[in-house]
Amino acid sequence: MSAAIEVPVAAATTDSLRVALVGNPNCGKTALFNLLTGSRQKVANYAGVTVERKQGRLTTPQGREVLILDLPGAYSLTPASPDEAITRDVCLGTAAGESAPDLIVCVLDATNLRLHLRFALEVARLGRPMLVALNMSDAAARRGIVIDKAKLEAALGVPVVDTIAVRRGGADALLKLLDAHGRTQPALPIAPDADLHAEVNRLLNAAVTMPRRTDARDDLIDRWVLHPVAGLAILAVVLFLIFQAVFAWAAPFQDGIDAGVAFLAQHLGAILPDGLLKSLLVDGIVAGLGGVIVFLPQILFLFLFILALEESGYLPRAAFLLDRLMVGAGLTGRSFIPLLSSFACAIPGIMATRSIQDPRDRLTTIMVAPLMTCSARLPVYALLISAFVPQRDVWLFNLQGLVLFALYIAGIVGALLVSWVMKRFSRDKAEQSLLLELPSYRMPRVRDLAIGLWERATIFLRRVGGIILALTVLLWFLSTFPAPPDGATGPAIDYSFAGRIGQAMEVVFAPIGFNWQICIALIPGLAAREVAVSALATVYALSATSEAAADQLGGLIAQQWSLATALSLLAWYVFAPQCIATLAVIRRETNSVRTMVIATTYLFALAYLAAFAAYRITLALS
Amino acid sequence: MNLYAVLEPLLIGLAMLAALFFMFGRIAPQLRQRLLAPLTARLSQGSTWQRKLAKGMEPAAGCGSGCSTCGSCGSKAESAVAPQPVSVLRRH
Repeated sequence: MSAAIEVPVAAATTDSLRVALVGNPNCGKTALFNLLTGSRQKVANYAGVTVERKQGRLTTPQGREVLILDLPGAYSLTPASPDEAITRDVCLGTAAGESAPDLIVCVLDATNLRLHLRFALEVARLGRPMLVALNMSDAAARRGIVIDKAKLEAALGVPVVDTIAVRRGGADALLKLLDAHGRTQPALPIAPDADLHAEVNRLLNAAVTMPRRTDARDDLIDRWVLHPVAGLAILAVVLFLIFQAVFAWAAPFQDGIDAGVAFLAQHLGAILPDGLLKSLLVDGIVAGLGGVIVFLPQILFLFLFILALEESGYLPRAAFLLDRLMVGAGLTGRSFIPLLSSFACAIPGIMATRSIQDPRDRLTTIMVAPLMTCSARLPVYALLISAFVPQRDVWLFNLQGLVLFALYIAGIVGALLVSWVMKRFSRDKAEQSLLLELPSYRMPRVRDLAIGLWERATIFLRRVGGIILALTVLLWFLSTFPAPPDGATGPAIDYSFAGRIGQAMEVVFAPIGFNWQICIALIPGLAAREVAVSALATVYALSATSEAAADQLGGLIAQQWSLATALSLLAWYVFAPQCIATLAVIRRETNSVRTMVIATTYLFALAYLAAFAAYRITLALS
Repeated sequence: MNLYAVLEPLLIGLAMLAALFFMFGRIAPQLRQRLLAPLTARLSQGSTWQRKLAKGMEPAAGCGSGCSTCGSCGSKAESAVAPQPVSVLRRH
């Protein structure tokens, strides 16, 4: 089998077989899609990961070209949310510019057939060629669930195959059926007025033997994890430990990268003659990119924990636990997954709100998603914490880790407050109840974690080699030209374009303690937040009077900034909408420039107020 | 004048142009594509390296991120972006 990813929707050739993967959320459609096409779409052990239609291509063992569509999970073909509407439209052939698929593969979680068969029957009612893939059939067998495929096939009138999407070769039976698709028939007709629940029960009685409805191990864990008091305590401890580990475990790796960057800067400085090219390479590119890349280990440790939690099935439990708190704040438990996605990046988080059925809840979640601390903020936080917070233990805890935890909590509290205010000013105060499927617990697979980490590292390095490099080069130019006038006494950067821009901006930001160097860093930071670190590194390297001073950004800012300024900048970064792409997605997902302007304005106002308070209070106390 | 003195401004100029080109594509990908369309069309009919250059000048495929430019947010480039705007209706 060979596989490749297709980009344009219209790329499908007319003679290729078009197959749509459909099913309830979290039944393993995307894992199966990845196995079939060789793709690496995000998978996780909770519902609502896929909110868009994805496509890929494969060639079957007998050489048949197949175009596979991975559709968002749906509980019904009567959609309750925008992502479910995509699935319905594609299945019915009413999606814009797209005909109905030649074959529908209905993916069922074999451990949860009572729920998933209902959707299969709905799809069968469409009367289109289909087949059923019993995914996670290995897990079902382990639980003692016995499925008589022959009887199920006879009852449904369509082929039924076992699949194990997380195992190599787990889709071989499905591939054989795709080769033989010409013989696949539509399902047996089901009366439009038939009671689907009764039909499901009939199928289960005929073809499935279930020892018990739920896994005993899941029940045991849930007794603690879902407990109203113990559950919240466990959640707090888990989050707390993550932030401790991010600082404590990443340090040796960071030191290694730091040493490598210093070595490179030193040798480039020694090899190249003095001049503009040396300045661009050493003060611009190496200082700028080196200042950012040093935070890669911390980002990877953070994502290691997030990925492990995603894979384990714990996250929907956390959503369930936090539902009461979130409803009180004007959100819903369904907001949890989009907000959690926003810890990686607000953009997929905002996209994930498509799984929220109520439009007002969705709008509120979109508005507060930028307040979640995305991974691009981590380099800024880590730089300032390393420079201003001493590396010592408080009781058993690392003080720097505690401060990082507090910053993440500040973003969460800010989001809850904003959503509470939005709810108060909203006319519609109705509360939506949370109906959430709790998946079975799973041990995270090392391969999935490794792929996830590899992708996060690639994303980060792509940003470093792309937008951060480009902005660093441009900032170096703005910080170097024009050259200082004859007889100038200060650092050359004071007379440059960047210096003048920074000094002009300082008027606005002086009340919150920002100097002109920080003001300069805020501008490229709008394109990507972590560029603020590389911008500061470049600006201070160009301002430095000695090579040694140019090497260590953390040490430099610790000497030149007050604690009040550092805390003010941290507070600014907790709330400020320092990312243009996020604002663009808000506009697109709400189809409203007004909403985007409101989001931008309130976030900037909140950031300025928070920074002002942090600066003034620290000054008053010191 | 030695070779380094000649190369230095040339390399710096090229680095600036590349950075500007990249940022222009980030901020206004469609405008950049429109402006470069005649050039890329011509290059794509040329030799192998010209075709590669033309491909490199095209914006990244829609990545589902909304900005559809860099693919650096974790969204994949294979998804077909279909807007699903939220619409809040006033209750009477």
